[in-house]
Amino acid sequence: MANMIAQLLPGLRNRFSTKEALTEGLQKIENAAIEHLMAKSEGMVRKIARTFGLPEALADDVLHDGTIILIEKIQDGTYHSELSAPQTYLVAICRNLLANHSRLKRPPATEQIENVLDLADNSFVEMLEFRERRVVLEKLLAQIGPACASLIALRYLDGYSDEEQLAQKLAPFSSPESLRVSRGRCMKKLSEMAKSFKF
Amino acid sequence: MVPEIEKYLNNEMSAEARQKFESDLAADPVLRQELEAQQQLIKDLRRMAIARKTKSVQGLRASKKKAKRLAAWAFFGIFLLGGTVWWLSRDGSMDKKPEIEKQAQPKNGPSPGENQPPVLEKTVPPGTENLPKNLPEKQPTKIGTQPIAEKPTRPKTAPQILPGGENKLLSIAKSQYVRPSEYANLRSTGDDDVLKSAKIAFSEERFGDALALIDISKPGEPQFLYGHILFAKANYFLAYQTFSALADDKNHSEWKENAEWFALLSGLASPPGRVPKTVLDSLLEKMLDDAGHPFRVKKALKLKEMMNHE
Repeated sequence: MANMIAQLLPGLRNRFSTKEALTEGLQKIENAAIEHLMAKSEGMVRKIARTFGLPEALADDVLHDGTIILIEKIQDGTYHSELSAPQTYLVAICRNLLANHSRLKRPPATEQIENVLDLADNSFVEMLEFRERRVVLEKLLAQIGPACASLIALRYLDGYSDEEQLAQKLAPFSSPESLRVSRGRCMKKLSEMAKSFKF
Repeated sequence: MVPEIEKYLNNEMSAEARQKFESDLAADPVLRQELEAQQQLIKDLRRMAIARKTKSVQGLRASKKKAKRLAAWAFFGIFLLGGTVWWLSRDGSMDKKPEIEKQAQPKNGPSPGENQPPVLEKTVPPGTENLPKNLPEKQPTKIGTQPIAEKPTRPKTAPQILPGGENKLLSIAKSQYVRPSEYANLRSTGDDDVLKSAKIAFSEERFGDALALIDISKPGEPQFLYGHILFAKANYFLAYQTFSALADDKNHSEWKENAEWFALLSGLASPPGRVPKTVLDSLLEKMLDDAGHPFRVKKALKLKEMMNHE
């Protein structure tokens, strides 16, 4: 019925109803695409969390981490939409993450859980490490000073290209080269500050 | 070499430059180490960007869900209340109906035409007698059929705009801003360091060159100069942030008072609402309370007077 209505009224059709469109939206980190993906996968992830005997709050965290991993995989080209839909892939990632959490919670793990694990995938450990590094990085960005923080944030957190920053006068520089040189110095400083935290 | 690392990691190098950079990498372990550190940083920053978005979407979804749940409960409550009221009134009417009906029915009701209220004749206003009689009468306003009138919007406390399009605070800030004298009429001596070259470029209003020369990652004077370049380029809010950070930098307290004054001016010049007025007021009061503040007598008092006047 819903499909029929959607066919009759194309305006009502979801922008991300095809996996290609959803993948493209996720690659660009569009809010609507992330929301669509989460809405599609949330119920399943919660259900898996319950089967592992894990709390619902953890399911939310895992969904968050899983979405990050999926978007990264889309961006670096290791995810292929022809093999599985993004939501299916996300559920699989979350299943692995939940299995790892479950194993941490109960050391003498059941064989079933061991079977679920994809031991070649180190996403779980990476995400745990990233959580720690993120806290440090937030602190460092606050310490580095507004000049450097804004240059780094514009490029890497907000995703503006150098040309966009200059065209929209977001950075006070007049050429991409001088902008890159300044940001480069800031990145070096950030890297040195990070070293002191044994990053 | 740092911009090269970034270019390499962002795939912004030409094939030739990339090849050369890779051969440098193979020969230089320090460069390799730096590349790895930057690579990890960029990866983490990008991951942070995704994490922020994902978190905000999750938050949005949670609040939407909460609102939906609240609406459902409200609907259920109204339904329950309505149902109860209807049920009670239904019960009451069933018990009382016969009595009411009895009371309402007079034993000897008036015959038709008797004790009827007098029919008022339609009075025609003078001068309208000849108007057509079949004009539609004005209908009562049906609730729910009229478009909802827009709420009258309260005028926001917008900054006063001058005829030139500038707000008054910006105008005051610009009138009080004077470039530090040490940056005026600087001449090259041939053996200038990078910072001095940046200062010369600034004094000659070659702001692009000054920005290219200055190392903004260094605290102290480079930050101070950067703040002035930002002010000159009308990037007032970033200038405010830069001067404020310098004023708070305990390792470079020699810049504190200067930085405070220029932070205040940049804050005033910033787009309305970016820097809370309370912050600027307290900065000004702090300056006025400090008897030894070099900007107190000539600058801060005058500024306060001008602000009060406005």
